[in-house]
Amino acid sequence: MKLLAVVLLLGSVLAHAVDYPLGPDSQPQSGVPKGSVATYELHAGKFYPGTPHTYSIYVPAQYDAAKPTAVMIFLDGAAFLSDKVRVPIVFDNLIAKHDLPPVIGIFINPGTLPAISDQSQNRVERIFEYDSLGDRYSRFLLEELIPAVAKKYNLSNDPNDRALCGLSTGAVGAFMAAWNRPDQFHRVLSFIGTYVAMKGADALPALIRKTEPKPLRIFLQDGKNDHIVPAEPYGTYFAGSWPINNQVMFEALESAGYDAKLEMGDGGHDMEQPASIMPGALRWLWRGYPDAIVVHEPAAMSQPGWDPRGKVYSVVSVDKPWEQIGGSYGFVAGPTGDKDGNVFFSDPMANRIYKADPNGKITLFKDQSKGVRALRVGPDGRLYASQPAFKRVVSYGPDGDEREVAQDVEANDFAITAQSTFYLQTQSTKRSATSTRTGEYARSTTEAKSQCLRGWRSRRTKPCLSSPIGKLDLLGHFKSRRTDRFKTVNRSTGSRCRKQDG
Amino acid sequence: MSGVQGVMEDSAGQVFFATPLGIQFCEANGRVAGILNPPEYGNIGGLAFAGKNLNWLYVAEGGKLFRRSVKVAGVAVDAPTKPPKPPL
Repeated sequence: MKLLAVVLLLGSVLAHAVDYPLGPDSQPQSGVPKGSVATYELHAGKFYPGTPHTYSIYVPAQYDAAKPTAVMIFLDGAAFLSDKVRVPIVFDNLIAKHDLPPVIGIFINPGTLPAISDQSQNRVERIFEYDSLGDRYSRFLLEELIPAVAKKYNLSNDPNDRALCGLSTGAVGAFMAAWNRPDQFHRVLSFIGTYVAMKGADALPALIRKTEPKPLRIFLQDGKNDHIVPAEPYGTYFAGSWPINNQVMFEALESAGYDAKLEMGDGGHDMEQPASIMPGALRWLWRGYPDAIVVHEPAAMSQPGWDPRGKVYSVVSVDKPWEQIGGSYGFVAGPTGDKDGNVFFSDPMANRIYKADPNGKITLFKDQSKGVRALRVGPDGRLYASQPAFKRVVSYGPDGDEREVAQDVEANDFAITAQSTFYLQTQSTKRSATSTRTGEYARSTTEAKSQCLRGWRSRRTKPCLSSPIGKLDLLGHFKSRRTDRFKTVNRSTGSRCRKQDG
Repeated sequence: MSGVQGVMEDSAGQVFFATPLGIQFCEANGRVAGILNPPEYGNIGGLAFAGKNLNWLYVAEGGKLFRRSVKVAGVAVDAPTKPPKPPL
């Protein structure tokens, strides 16, 4: 027992005996131009109402107001400015060596909403801001913090010139801001990142593996003894294991093809190793600048053993990105294709239906389209359209001739099968008004039309594998809505319009 | 999966959902396999397979229409084919 205790004690001592000294790039060097650091307050804005934020700006000596300058945002800014981590000194040295471009550093602290009396606690917002998976914090950076700094300095808007850095839960905040806005940020430094089950960050590895890669470069660091002690080698914390989850994050990034690096040291949940490796981490993150960070297919994709099942690159190609067709419209809804490769879409705000040919050329197909939103090409080649405001479904021929298909149906969306069965999706708010008289819900069309409703049925949404809308129900969406089904038949067959057994 | 704005099926029985996360596609057995990024920051509205070979994916996002060449194909409404047995 004594021996075990000695071994455990020794292990503990060894775990913390690792020395992470600051190298010369973290020491002030004579002859190196020094940047300036000034502190500001960002007044409360719309994303964190009532909550001011303090921040500091590092401006390199090489700053040229005539040039858009790269920018790096540090969450928990004070920790990175501290004498222990010394990012401004590292910046001075690396910029002087041209290992980094001149970078403006923004060191933002988490917000604190002051208490209304000394009998209550301040509202400390760090976890809410950093550990949430939504895009609020990224919007705070982009719409409030960066514009405030941009009033003082000429900041680049190029995502390739923008980096984020965080520690612990702040590393999650930095990663999430880039993950949510890869159109705005391309570089992330993550120290002792909290990718454990606090507010959902433990789910990130699966999300990273499944999601089409984004143009991000990510450096991760953690220590083998981060929340690990000899008596609890699986982790001391209720939310998971830091080193294991950092490893899993890294493997997910590798698997998806990211430019990622993990440095796993021997330390704990502290900034010893991060401070020591800061110069190297910054060099790695900004290497090759100003070459753009772009998405690559995973290296394993061309190698034996690659399993194509479920992979995004079994569906899309990295060299075939989205392309815009046409210009900007009030709103684009209901795209649907025909046999000839044309695509119809509606602009309900302009009351129009447009047609895009296979080359992307757009022509106006129908004006005054009565609020058409949902569109589907039917098996007969006609274009079916729902006019919910007029409670009807119509169809158009190639020349735009209109036929009324159904009345008294307020469909937001619909699907058509090869047998011309329609599945309608209507708002649940209408349910109570119609549920007692469902037999009258759909009626035959007027005599002038060639088609009528033979029958229909309405049902509450239940799992149903037979229709696309049923599958939505199965997966938990449209719970509050209902589907209606009706079938159109040609009047020439002599069929009467009557209720169909449902 | 929440916030679904549109749904489409491909010839392998995979189902594509337009969601705030992007276009989530499920294997025919219902498992989410992959998630395609939207054309730009924002929410995708409708989506459709189109083109003569149904191998273009069109999406509506706000006031814009986008398309992307894909390695899968949609299902013709007038000539649907039986999808393969779902994977285990």
